[in-house]
Amino acid sequence: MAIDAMSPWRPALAGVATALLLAACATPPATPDLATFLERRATCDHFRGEIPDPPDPQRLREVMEQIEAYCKGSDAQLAALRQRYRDDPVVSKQLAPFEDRIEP
Amino acid sequence: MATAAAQAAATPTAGAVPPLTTPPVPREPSGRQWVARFPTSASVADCTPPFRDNLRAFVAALGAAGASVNIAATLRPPQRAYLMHWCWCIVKQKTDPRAIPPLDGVGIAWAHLDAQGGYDAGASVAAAQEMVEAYGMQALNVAPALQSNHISGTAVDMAISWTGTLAIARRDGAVVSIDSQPRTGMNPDLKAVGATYGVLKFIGGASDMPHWSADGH
Repeated sequence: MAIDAMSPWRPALAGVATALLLAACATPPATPDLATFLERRATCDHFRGEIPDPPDPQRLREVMEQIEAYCKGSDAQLAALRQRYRDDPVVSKQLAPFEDRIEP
Repeated sequence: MATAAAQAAATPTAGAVPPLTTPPVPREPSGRQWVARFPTSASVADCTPPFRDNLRAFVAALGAAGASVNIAATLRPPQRAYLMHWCWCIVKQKTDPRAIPPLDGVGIAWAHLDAQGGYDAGASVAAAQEMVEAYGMQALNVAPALQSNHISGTAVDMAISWTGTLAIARRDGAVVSIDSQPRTGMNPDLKAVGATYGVLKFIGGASDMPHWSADGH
């Protein structure tokens, strides 16, 4: 929809745009690789807590499929992100709770 | 049996200063026998309040509605998570058994000693390997978690099923008739009912079908 420069809505829209910009500045978006890692690692950590006990071969297969999908390569990705964001206290704090090494 | 320390405490000598520290608790070497201890529970009663009461109410509502509920797991004791985690680390990550931190209430000696009292690396790793096998984790390529909703007593793995229409009460008592598919715990209408009890279906979709928890994780 085109907005006429003289439209009475123009000041209101400008206000909304300013508010959105301020909100964006307050919480900078995570870079895609960081966001992807955080989501994958959260899922990985969930399934690390789902190892069936007592052992159940069917359930273990299901869990290991998810572990393969979400955990593989996590150690290297975490190390790389810690290095990349070593001077960023906000991101460093987000990465801090993760165990450095979960893979063999 | 009286220990030397207890005997010493019972027969004080003039001017003797009592020890400030308790003698070390004897530790039992690691091995297969540990696997039977601290078992994972399938009982709602072992969950942590308020999730315990929420889950109990939800399961009761399912039962009253005629659904079948089969609970596979609720609480995994932190002691068991500790045992599973560190035996795996010794075997798969070559973690030094002498460097593993102790956990209160688990008197396990990860580092075995030989006849001369020296560290026996071979026996230590072999015992950890026994435990990994007894836990069924030989093929596992990631360290078992030390923290999770199961470990904190706020999760359940359960299979739910029913036939026909499920008429189930929400937490507020209002009855919802569910005739949608599937007739399992993956039913979106049942998930909404569970949420009224504070029992949330896993947010990751079908990747973990039996899992419900206090926060959806």
